[in-house]
Amino acid sequence: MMSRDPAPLRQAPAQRHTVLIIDDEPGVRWSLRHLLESNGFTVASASSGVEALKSLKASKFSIVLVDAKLPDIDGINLAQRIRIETPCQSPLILVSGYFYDDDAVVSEVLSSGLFAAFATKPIVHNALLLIIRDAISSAGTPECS
Amino acid sequence: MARDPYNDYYYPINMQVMQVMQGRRMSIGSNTLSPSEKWQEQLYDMLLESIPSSVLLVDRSLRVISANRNFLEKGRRKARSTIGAPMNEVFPTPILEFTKIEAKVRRVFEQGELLRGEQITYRAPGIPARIYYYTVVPVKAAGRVECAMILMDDITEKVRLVEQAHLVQMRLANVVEYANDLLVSADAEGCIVTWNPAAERVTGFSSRDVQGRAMCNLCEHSDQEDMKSMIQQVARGKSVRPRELRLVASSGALIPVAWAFSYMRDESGKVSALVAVGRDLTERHAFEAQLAQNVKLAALGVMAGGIAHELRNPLSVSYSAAQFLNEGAPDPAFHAECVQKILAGIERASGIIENLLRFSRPSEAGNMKIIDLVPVVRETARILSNQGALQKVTVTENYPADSVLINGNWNQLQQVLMNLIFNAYAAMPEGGELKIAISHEGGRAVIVVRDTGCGIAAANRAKIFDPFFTTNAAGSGTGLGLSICHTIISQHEGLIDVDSEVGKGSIFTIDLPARVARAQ
Ligand SMILES: Nc1ncnc2c1ncn2[C@@H]1O[C@H](COP(=O)(O)OP(=O)(O)OP(=O)(O)O)[C@@H](O)[C@H]1O
Ligand SMILES: [Mg+2]
Repeated sequence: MMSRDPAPLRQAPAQRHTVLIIDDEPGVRWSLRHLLESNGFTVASASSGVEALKSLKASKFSIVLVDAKLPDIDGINLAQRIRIETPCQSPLILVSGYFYDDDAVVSEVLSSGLFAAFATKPIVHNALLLIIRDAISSAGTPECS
Repeated sequence: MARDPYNDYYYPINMQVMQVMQGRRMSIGSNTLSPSEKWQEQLYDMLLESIPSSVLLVDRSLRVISANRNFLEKGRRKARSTIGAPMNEVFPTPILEFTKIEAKVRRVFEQGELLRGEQITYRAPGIPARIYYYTVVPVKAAGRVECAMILMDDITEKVRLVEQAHLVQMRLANVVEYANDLLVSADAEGCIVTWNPAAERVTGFSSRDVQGRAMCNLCEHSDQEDMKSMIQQVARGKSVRPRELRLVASSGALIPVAWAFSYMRDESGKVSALVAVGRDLTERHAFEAQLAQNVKLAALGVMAGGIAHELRNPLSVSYSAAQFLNEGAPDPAFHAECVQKILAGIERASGIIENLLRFSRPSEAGNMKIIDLVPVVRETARILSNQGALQKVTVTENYPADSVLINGNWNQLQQVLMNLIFNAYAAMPEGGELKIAISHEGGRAVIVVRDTGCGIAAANRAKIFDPFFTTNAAGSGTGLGLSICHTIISQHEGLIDVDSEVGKGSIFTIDLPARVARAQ
């Protein structure tokens, strides 16, 4: 599936997309890591907003999954700070059990373009994989810059 | 209070002066004075000069023949311009017109009878108005009224005091009459003496119904001992904290009343009477209940989000694990891991629901009974001591020797203690000291749980009792512990509070109304 990606790679030696999972719940990190790794992604994770900002300043990711409730920074606020404080321009996906699909807050962050997509918990594996791939292909770049 | 207060100011001294003056007039008649008469005259003069009354003597033609120093001073007059002057020059015109004193003096001359009990307000130039009480005394020689003595007592200050006292009394009577609070006075044994209209209105018992009855007998059965002990303390001259005790109305309804007691001492210093001010809390309780309801509704909004987040995380983990299994996990270790995640996730979700239920519907307040707080706390500390030892936490307990009775629910209080102790352990991951103490003073039972843990940031101090507020990482705390504590302690009519310093530790204090042991 990755080989379908037309864009050339700048840095990464392998053609694997990298995902950053930001979630404070170890069980959720466990399940997402397992799901994504077994589908060919390279996975890194952060359990707080501060840790995530640090990772995003240091490394590049193809896509970032953001939980809405983190112990230090609220997910939406974190997304804004990612855009301001880090060079990351890759798509952000809001993954949370805190909202429902057409929640006013969700509609707003999607239409403003802050987030590329929203996935609710409990996570439906196939649905999440679709969302991630869609987001990566419409972003049109293999990697975060 | 219909009596005339001014009649009290007629002093016997004036009667003596009258007699002295009468004697003097006699001697004025003859020109030769014997030594004893001379001595007598000196005595009269001294007397006249030193008495606090103003004395004026006028002859039949209403001319002033003598005025004492007091009169001259009060009237700001000189003896020279006064003695020999007609009376109507000595008094200002308004007084003459208003009091018709000339006519009255004339009548005394005609009828030879004493005139007393009149008031004049007299204002000498340059000084504030004074009020005088005056008497006109006929001074007779051989049956004829030779002259009249006008005796004036300055009663300005007395009038003012009487008026003031009267006003204060009126005001007090009004306060008692129209107070919204129950005002009850009782003898030192607590038997009712007065019972104001508010007390009548609230209880439906008239003042006559309750006169002489023991105050504690008007209380709800289970509050009678507390009322009795409150009265006994006050009667011994101790001050007691106000507290809520219920009255039974004539309709049988229970009325929550906050009572504040004070006492009065007699001249010997003994407590002779008790005064109780009671505030009817019915409306306030209804209002508080409504407020609590509104707060609950508002909390529900916050909670719905919290619940969603808290529940959907473990559900999501279980759901993922199930999806992995469904795809046919090849590796037996991973298979086992998935099963374990499913079980743990469901357990956690269910635990959260359990806590939610306890928060929203703490077990019935009806289950409360009089229990000893000491074993509840001791037992709970014991149950959790293993975990403390594992975490290198030293636990010190300090309980009073005798029992500390409260009206409460054992299980709920145990839950409160558990939450506090767990929180303290969580705040001391590197070990530390935990002190648990109960104290008992002034009708309050106080539990203190003190740790040497991380402390609570000032910004978080107001939030820690909110449902779902937690600083613990996901999976290790839902933030319901302290909100449950708060609900339970409120149901026990108590208070829970925290004092904390970051890096030093935290002190949680629970303050509950203590009960008095019922005499068997
Ligand atoms: N003794 C303590 N020392 C320091 N912080 C405390 C202490 N007790 C409570 N807190 C703070 O208050 C927060 C709320 O406490 P609460 O008991 O309500 O929830 P929790 O312990 O996080 O979760 P739960 O009790 O539901 O498992 C805690 O997360 C912690 O930040
Ligand atoms: Mg807790």
